[in-house]
Amino acid sequence: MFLKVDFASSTPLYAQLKEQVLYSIASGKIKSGSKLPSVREVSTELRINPSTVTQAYRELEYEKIIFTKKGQGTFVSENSVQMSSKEKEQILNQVIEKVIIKAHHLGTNSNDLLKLFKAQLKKMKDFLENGKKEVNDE
Amino acid sequence: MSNAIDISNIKHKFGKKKVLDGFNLEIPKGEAIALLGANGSGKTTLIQMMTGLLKPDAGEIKLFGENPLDCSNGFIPGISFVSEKRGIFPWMTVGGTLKFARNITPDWDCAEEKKLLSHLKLRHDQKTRHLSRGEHGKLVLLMALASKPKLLIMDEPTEGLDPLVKRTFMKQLIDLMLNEGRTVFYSTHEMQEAERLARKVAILVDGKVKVYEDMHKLKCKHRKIQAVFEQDTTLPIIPGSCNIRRWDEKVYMDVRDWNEKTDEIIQSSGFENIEILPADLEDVFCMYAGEEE
Repeated sequence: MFLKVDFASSTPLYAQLKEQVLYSIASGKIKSGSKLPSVREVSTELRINPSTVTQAYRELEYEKIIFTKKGQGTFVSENSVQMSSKEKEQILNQVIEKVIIKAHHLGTNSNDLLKLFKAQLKKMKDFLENGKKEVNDE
Repeated sequence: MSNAIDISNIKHKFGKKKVLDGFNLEIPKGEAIALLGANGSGKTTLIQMMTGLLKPDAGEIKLFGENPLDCSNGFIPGISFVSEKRGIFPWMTVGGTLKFARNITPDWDCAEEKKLLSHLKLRHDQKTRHLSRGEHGKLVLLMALASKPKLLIMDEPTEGLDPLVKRTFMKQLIDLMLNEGRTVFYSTHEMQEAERLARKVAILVDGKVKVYEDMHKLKCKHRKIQAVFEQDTTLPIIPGSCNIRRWDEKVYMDVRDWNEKTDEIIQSSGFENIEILPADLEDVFCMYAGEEE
């Protein structure tokens, strides 16, 4: 199952579930039209109160991201979520921040970090254009 | 009557000690509530009053609108209790114990009993005095769930149980809660379990319910702060701060009723390297229960 909960976070559990469903749809991990795990499945597997799952699903349904077919389950709406550019930025910034902190601790200066970043970008571009294989080698 | 539990102005003394010091608590149907409190804070006393085993000095408790003390046969339909000692006798077998419970519980569901027996891996021919602590806990739970209660009241149900039995317990409880409208009220010291199962939290401190709040709001409203402040100088006052510790120039503190205003105050009070961390339920509990007068 793609859902999980983090008790160390100050984000409420239902909001965590909601965010993960949104993220998984936007990132293509779950496709539109596909079925979400049932409330029973999520609450039993994560060992959380079923109302918490219901609350997350209810809000997503209200926002027309998902819909319920009676007796069949909950599904992702067609053409449901396009992530806003702000949300995309947020996700990327979190990752970039981690890299910057790491570089700071390793004593790598901004210029070298930018060079590395550009080199990786170029590698990725080459891969997409020429189908070179070594992208994930490092 | 839309509440499952109504507690009004309940008071009780043991000797000179005020165990319960006059508070109200309303628990709507369909809620799952964890009752937290330090040892000796009155949790068990409160739950004993719900079962009708103890008469409060003042105030009253109503379960589905009925006072457990007024029920002549000691039975309000749809309610189950879990406590360690409930109805298990050392000379009986598991089967005998269940037969006994079946006879005194009008709502007993035999199909549910069978299902639970196989889920919990208990056998009829086991002698109750030979049961391990975990099996004992499972048997108590089985007896409470076999009537598919509308209201389940439990006093530290997972105390002393191993992680496997705790998981089984949680699964059975979730199964019950998947049926709409079931109310669960239980006392516990297991904070993570409460975070998983409860939607609301009540914290008993000094005989009163000091906190009664939705779990998610509770966590949003509390933070742990780490920061740097000049050594041996008086700290500025941060509203809601408690449990302040100082190590050289470092300051650690907990903050209740966290909001944007508190954030502004901290940012502009001369602290440096400020880190604001979320508080889990255990942190929140200690912010109230651990408070020195």
